[in-house]
Amino acid sequence: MLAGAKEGVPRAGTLFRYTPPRVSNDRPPNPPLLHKVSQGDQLAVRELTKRYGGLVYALARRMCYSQGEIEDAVQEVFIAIWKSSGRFDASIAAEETFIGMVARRRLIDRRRRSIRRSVERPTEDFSYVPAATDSGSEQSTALSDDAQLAQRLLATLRPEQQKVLRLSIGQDLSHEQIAELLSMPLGTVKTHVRRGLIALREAMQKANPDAGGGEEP
Amino acid sequence: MDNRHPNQSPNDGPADQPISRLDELLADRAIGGLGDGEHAELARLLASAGKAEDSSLDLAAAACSAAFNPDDSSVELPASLLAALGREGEAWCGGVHSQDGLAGRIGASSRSARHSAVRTPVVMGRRFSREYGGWLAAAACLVFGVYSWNTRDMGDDSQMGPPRPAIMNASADLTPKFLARPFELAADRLDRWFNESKGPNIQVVPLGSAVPDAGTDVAVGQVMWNPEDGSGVLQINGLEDARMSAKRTYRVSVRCSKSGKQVTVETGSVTLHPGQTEVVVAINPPVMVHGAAAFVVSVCSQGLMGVSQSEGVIGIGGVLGEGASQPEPHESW
Repeated sequence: MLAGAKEGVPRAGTLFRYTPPRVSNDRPPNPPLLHKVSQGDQLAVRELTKRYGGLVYALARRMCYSQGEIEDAVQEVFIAIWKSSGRFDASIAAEETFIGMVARRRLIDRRRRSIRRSVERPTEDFSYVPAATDSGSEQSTALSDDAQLAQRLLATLRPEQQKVLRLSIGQDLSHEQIAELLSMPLGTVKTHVRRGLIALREAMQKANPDAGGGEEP
Repeated sequence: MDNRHPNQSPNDGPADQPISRLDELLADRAIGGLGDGEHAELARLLASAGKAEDSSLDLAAAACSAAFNPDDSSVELPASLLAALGREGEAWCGGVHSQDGLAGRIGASSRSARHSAVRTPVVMGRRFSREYGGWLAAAACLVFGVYSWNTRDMGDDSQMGPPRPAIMNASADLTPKFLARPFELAADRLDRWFNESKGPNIQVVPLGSAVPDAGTDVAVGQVMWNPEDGSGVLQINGLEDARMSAKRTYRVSVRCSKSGKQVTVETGSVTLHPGQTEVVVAINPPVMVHGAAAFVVSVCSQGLMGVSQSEGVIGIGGVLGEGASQPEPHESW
């Protein structure tokens, strides 16, 4: 949920809120851990690492290119998560989304510093594979509320926006790689990514009539 | 800087609503496509929009990533990495619970470094650390010694050097800063300052050309300086025009308005990859600088510690209102 569990007047400066979709989810909701982490609760830190270690590791595997670098990156991300745990607001985003955001930011920063992508990841290694989640939501029970909503809203975007977003965010390819892969002008790729992402944000905002502004969670 | 209207994207089709430049940059940042020099532009646009930060597109991208990769959460973390994270986490919690928060966190970092067999440095690569750790330790000792020698006569604002009774008994302002605050990555600091950029505290000092004959001041970058914290971030753009090669060490001299002295900070070796035209490095003086009045940025080849014969000044910037005299690039060296 990028969702607001809280009822009432929207808080100034919040991102956006929406009513969580009523979907069947066999997985019981996990209680948020980040506030306990910010207070130095050792059990919460351990549980957080177990719960989201796989997510961070999977993101790092897509964005780093050696095992040593992946492990360094995962440690750096978790340090960043612990440090920013006090800023988490469950009324703005799900814990998993917050952690995904911190991890993506940190990994993007690392990649920007190293600039290895174009050298070490040849475009030929990648291909566009439409996922099963394009047309259905069979796997939605394994997703957080935010991800389920994003999945439904992605299906409402233009096909070319969906495709480019999948390559850019789903597979972490650069604009240049996507342009080459799809034989599409670079500017068009950038426009599709931007418009797709902005449309997704706006659709999420519309899903919640109390949508607010957009500041740091 | 392009010549477009600030609210108009060049790629807007006739059937689409224009994308604001701010949204364009936020979207680029969310997918890691922010170009050289655009971080500063984004910070300016956010500030002019009255926002400290806007994470809406970052969160949308994170939700999107989870939607595209539903199996991410079920990936197994390697046991050794999980154990290393456990040790790091324990150390971090120890720091939070410490009576003296800052000192505790530093202690936690030290404990973590000592007791974690698998842990690798956050910034430095594991292999690099293994191969060059001894050399680095020796170099660090050498640099510390040289630095202490060079700054031994500085005034109150730039006290530093090896621990001496006078320093141990000195007031808080004279405490070397590395003893008084936790480790912070340059990227963290930049994030934090962007978040705080609404406030009046962060000084953004554009750097001008250091070559008088150039005719005009050609900005090569900027310094973002936090006077409360006495540290900063140096951003340099257009490196291909600045005669950069693969590896460089930047040297930033900060002039104190109070004492008139200069404190010089080495940024460490910076590796520039092919095509890289921008670099962001931390300026973290080991002593408190009160009222930074001017900055001088120079660059020298890697490995030239101490007095450098190939050092070249690439930018000078003054802080408005401090009324300091012009900085002298090589005063401390």
